[in-house]
Amino acid sequence: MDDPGLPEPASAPVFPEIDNPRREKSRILGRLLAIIGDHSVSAERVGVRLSPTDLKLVFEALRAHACSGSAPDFIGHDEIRRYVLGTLFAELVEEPSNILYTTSTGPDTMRYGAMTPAFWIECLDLLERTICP
Amino acid sequence: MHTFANYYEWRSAITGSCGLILGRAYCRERITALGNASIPSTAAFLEAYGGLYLNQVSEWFRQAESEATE
Repeated sequence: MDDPGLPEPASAPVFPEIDNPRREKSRILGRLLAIIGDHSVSAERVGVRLSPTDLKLVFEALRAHACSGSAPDFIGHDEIRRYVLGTLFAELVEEPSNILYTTSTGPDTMRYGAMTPAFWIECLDLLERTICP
Repeated sequence: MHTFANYYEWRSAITGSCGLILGRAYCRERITALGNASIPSTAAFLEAYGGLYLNQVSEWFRQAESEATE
């Protein structure tokens, strides 16, 4: 590691299991669709209409980030579109730490767990199938 | 599958779902970037998934680098 501020390797990360992945994906999908809807409205205000191809690029970049930590460059787009795609990426890339999935621990109790990278990718796959058929 | 249980699951995701090629130069670039928390994408990665996962991914990139043929 080049940065002494990063934690030392210890053990493999442990993420708790989700007991109802379908319900959780549905809940997360609704949240992501709302974010994209709001972003699309903002984009139109600056003259950019987000296409399915644009959204696919962002989803690909988010999947790559979850596996590798890489940042997108959106090369090949004009400056305004690159800005719009970049800000959508920046907004969505925070979602795994904003969304806590729920696991039932009893009749009236829930546990909240952090999003895992693989589950996040599954949510992105579902999102892409839903809005970029 | 809800997390990457091992190197092979991660490798499958990064080359399959993400369509990335694990060449030596790319692996080296990612290892360096993941070691620098001042890079915004690394900071976001750390914030989203935590230090243990970041370190695990760095280790997986090292393994991929050692296996890379180009």
